[in-house]
Amino acid sequence: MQLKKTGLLIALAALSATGYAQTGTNVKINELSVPTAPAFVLMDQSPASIEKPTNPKALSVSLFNLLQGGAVEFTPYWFKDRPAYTFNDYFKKHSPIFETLAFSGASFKKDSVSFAAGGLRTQLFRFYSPLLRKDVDSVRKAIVLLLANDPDSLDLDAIDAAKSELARLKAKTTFDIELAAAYLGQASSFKSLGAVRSGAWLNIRWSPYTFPLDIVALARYSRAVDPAKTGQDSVFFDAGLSLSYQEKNFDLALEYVNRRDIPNKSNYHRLALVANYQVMPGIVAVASVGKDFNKVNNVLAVFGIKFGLSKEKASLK
Amino acid sequence: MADGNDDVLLTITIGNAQIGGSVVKLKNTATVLAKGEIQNLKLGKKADLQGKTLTITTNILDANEQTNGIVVTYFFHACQTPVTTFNDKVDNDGDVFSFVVDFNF
Repeated sequence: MQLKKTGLLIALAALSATGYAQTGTNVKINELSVPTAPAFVLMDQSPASIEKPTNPKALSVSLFNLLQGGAVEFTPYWFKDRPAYTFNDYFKKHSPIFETLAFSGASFKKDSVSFAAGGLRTQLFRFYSPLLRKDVDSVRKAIVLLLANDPDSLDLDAIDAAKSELARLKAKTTFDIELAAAYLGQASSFKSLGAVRSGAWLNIRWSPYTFPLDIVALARYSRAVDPAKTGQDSVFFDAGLSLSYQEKNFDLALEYVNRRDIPNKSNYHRLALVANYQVMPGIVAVASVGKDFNKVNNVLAVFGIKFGLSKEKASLK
Repeated sequence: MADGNDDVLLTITIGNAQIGGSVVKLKNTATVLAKGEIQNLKLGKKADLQGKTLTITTNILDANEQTNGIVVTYFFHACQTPVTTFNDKVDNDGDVFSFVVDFNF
């Protein structure tokens, strides 16, 4: 029996991380979203390179390297091959907790202080509407046919386009619940690691497939330790709701965020209506009205024009 | 590989929640027996397959963003060694990995 194997590059995916606003009261709805890699967000870092070990041996090497500084991200469920686990099995699963349970870790040194962060993220529940499932299956079948060729005859451009369409559809879960948590510690040595920040996120999203509406409920618990130990820790519980409507050149979003300052037993809230209109590619008119967290000077009224060099459509997400 | 006079059926399973397509041919012939998803493909009587070589090309797209591992299982119903599994991994998310495998009957 002979075996010949060929690897062909089609496309790359990029990892992005959003900023993390821990202090102050200017939290916005998108800052409450479940982060892709919670550990990196808690560190306010976007690592230049992230190791992604795919088996326990590689993980042990990555974790050893982590002690010298760096970042790692891994999904233990897939360390082992799943020969009988098909795309359809995965797509139909409503509770892919283990399949999507991803851990992230990072460490870096600043002056003589070492920082280390760890985090996890998983999808607790998801549901795709029947129409969306049908469309995903159509794209899957198209990809299967494109792949049913000799390796030298594959239409890589068509496969790439179909793969992008599949990724777009897969991301449009009709209903999903995601959970994430992270911890950041600092110490003069790893043996005396003490907490600096910790946080937990919960995201519940409903997005009808045939109507451009997106409703997201978000909750975040965050704690920042007072570094001087002279005051009290900052502990917040944020709860938010976002309702957005998106057309080709037009976005409209209504956002509400309530922040509970737990040590001070006080509440703040922010309510904003945000609209973006793409006048032409690269030029977006923006309007935002509402009420910010502050007790005074809290009226939000922003009107303006944004100029961009990118051809991508402006989005509120 | 084959024994007796039963029909030999072939099923190809793409694991790790990836997507794959296959082309099944008899070696050194241009005739394609089947392509696409292969499930319970009737290859013929065992006796008729004796001495022949089946060439299967399977291309797998890394469609699972959680892993770059790819795994394919060839199941030949009514054969002495019914299951053969190959695994490997792609270097980058979204790559295509190709297996070309000859099965001798």
